[in-house]
Parts: sequence; C-alpha cells; structure tokens
Amino acid sequence: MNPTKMKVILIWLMVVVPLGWGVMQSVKKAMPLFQGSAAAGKP
Amino acid sequence: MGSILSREATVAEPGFSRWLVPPAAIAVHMCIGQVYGFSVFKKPLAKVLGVTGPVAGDWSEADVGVAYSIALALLGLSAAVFGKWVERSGPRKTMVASMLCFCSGLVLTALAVKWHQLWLLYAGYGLVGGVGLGLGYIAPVSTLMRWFRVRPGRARGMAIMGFGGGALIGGPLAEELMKFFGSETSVGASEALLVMAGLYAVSMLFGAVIVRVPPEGWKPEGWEPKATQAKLVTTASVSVDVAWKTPQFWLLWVVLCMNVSAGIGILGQASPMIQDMFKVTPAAAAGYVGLLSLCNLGGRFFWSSMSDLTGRKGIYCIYFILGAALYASVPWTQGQGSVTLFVVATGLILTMYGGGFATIPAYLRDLFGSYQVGAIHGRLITAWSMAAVIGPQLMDRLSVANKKSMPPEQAYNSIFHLMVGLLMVGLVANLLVRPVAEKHHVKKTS
Repeated sequence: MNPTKMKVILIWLMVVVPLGWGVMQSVKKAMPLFQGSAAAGKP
Repeated sequence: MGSILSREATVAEPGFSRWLVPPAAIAVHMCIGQVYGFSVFKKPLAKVLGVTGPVAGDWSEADVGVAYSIALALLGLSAAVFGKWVERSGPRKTMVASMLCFCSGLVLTALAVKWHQLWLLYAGYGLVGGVGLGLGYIAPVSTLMRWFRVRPGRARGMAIMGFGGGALIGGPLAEELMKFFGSETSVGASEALLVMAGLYAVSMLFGAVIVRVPPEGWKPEGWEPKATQAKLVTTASVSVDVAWKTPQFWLLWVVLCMNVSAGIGILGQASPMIQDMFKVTPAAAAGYVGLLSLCNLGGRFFWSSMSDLTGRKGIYCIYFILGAALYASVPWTQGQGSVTLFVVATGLILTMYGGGFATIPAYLRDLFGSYQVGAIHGRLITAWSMAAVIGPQLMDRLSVANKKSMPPEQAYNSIFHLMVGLLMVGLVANLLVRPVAEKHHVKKTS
C-alpha cells in the first residue's frame, strides 16, 4: 500500500479508536432505556 | 522552539495528504470536549471530605457547577479576544498554547481537590482551562476551510464532531479512573484529573505535530472556483474588525445563540427531566444523557455535510422549523407515555444543536470569506457563552417554579413551548441574512 495512504489510515485510527470506545460506552448505558426495567413506575 | 511552532514551519510539504488535517483537529477537539462531561465530577467533588457522602465543609454540587459555567464563559471570551492572534500565529502554536492552558487547568483542578480550595477550582478549571478551550476550539477552523474548499461544511463538521465526542470519552474515562484510584479515604478525583491531563496533553500535542497549513495559492487538484456562486457565497474577503460591525454578524450571533439555548436547556436537565416525565430509573436516565451526547456528535457531521447541499441558510431554516415542531410534540409523547418517541424527538433536537455548531463556521466563510474566518468565528462564539447561561437558567428556574403548582411530569411543558419561541426568533434572524455589502470587502492590491 502507498505509504502516505498507510499513514493517513494509522493517524485516523488514533482518533477513531478512542471515539469508538466512547460511543460504545454510551450505547451500553442507553440500552436499559428501551428495556422494561427502565421504568420505575408509570407517569 | 518558536520556529517549530510558527505558521511558516507548518506549511505542507509536497505530497502531504490533506486528510491528515481532520484527525489533527479531532485530536484536539475530543480533549477539550471533556468540558461537556464535567458533570461526572459533580457528585465526587461534593464529597471530597466525607468520601462516602457529603459532610459539613464539603462543596455543594452547585459550587462545583460554577467552575463549568466559568469555563464556558471563558471559552467564548478567549476565542473572541485571541481570534486575531490565532490567525496570525497559525494552528500549531495555538494548539500548543491550548494544550498548555487546558492541561495545566486540569492539574490546578487536581490540586484544588487535593487541598480542597474552591477558588483554585474556579481559577484552574474555569479561568485557565477555559482559555485553553477557546484557543483549542477555534485553532483548526480556518486551516480546515483552506484545505477543504469544496465541502467546507463537512470538513468543519468532522472537527467539531470531535468536540461532541469529548463528553463520550471524558465522562466514562473519568468514571473509570475515579473507580481505580478511589479508596476509603479518597474519591480518586485528584489522581483521575492528573492522569487525564497527561493523556490529553499527549493527544493535543499529537494534533499539533501533524497539522499543516496549505502553501500560498494551493487548491485541490482539478478544482476551479465556480463561475457563478450561490447568492450568499462570497469570493471576497471581510476583515474581522469590519465583520463584527455588520448586521450579518449580529444576525448570525442571534441564530447561534437561539439554536444553542434551545439545545443546551435539554442537555443540562436531561437526567432529572426524563426521570420526572417517565419515572425511569437513574441508571436509565444516565443512559439517556449518553444517548443525547451521541446525537450531538452525529448531528455535527450529518447536518454540516447536508449544509453543503442545501446551503447554510437553508439548513438553519430546517433546524429552526423542524426543531420547533419536535419541541411542540414533546408534551404529546409524554401524554402517550412513550419513552421511545420522547427519546427520538429530543435526540433529533440534539442532532440539530450539534449541527448548528458545526455549520456556523461555513456560514461565516460563505458571508465573510476565509481571510480571517477563524477570528470572526472566535467573536461569534460569545453567543455560545451567552446561551450557556440563558438555556440552563431558563430551564432550571421554570421547572422549579412549575413543580410547585403542577405534577412533575407536566412541569416541563411550558419550557418546551418557550423553546419553540426561541427557535422562531432564530428563524426570523436567519431569514433576514443577506450578502455582505461590497463596501465592507477588503480592497485587493496588486
């Protein structure tokens, strides 16, 4: 692969990996919202 | 040292790929975006002395929250004051200055926690850190604009997406670190802040090292300026000192202020709001806050990319009209008892909140040209500081007052209607935007 392209991919990975980790954490936390256990009682 | 940081030292060498510039911007923005996740420190910092719970002498959560407000106010002020310096000095020097301020602000915050000094918390996180936020926020604006002339909205959206992602990383990272360092005698916040300062310094320096400005006269291969530009897109330049005296600047100021006020009101009250309206558990409410941050992040990229197709004025009309319709529908979703519909409606509103931030630099470039767009953007960000005060204050005061006279699940309805009003004010301001008069353009010299 072209070394410039390789460099671009590697540098993008350096920022995408932590962002992806943050996204995963948020999605995991949000799951209970759409499950029955989220509701403590009807409004 | 000065020469390494200078604008001249950052001019791209032949063969440099412009696709290295967005990750440089994201590397800085995803660090300073930590400010959106500051709320995770609120409870721990309110029990530094008691550790298991607050005791006499501990700070209140409101005391801690003031640091966040100072930081946001300083973000706007420093962006406005240092905008011209940023344009002159180039992105690398600014990113390093931002790193020094933001990370030393975190170190001072760690010391404030260790010594339990509230003034040091305000000075560290609020004043010093806030200046770092302002510098880091505007640093990559004009650089990205110069590299990505064809789709400036998408280019800017990529960087500002990183700021939205800052909370997604900063929040969970702080929680994990406090869990790791916490003990029977410490909440672990001081150590967590020090580690975060170190990690953020590395990431921001990484951004500063890889950022480059295009050589004078550079243009994308095969690209020629369109013979006929859209009515609101100028090929001329307006200086920052002239731009801020034009009606267009202040109309955009109102546009940004209203859009941000409407979104920030939801962000600040998200957790108690969904608990009051749908009686969900605190854990699920925390998940809702995370989901809103995700929408904030996604909207920055999606809507700013869309703005390259619709034009900036058109996209803001969509934000205001669709946003108002969604706000008006929120009480109905509560009446239906549908958490899913509520989450979808408020999530969409938050995508447009993020989109508003990400689209404004391209709107400025359209109207004033790219000559000093970073500095102009810096001055416009004062609208954000103002909105950071207006939005949460409106939400706080009205919801507290309403809860005294009605059931808590209905206490937010009048607020949603008020937000519709704010968005309508923004719509009118946006519709009034016209091209900048020729007399304000910088005269071309041979």
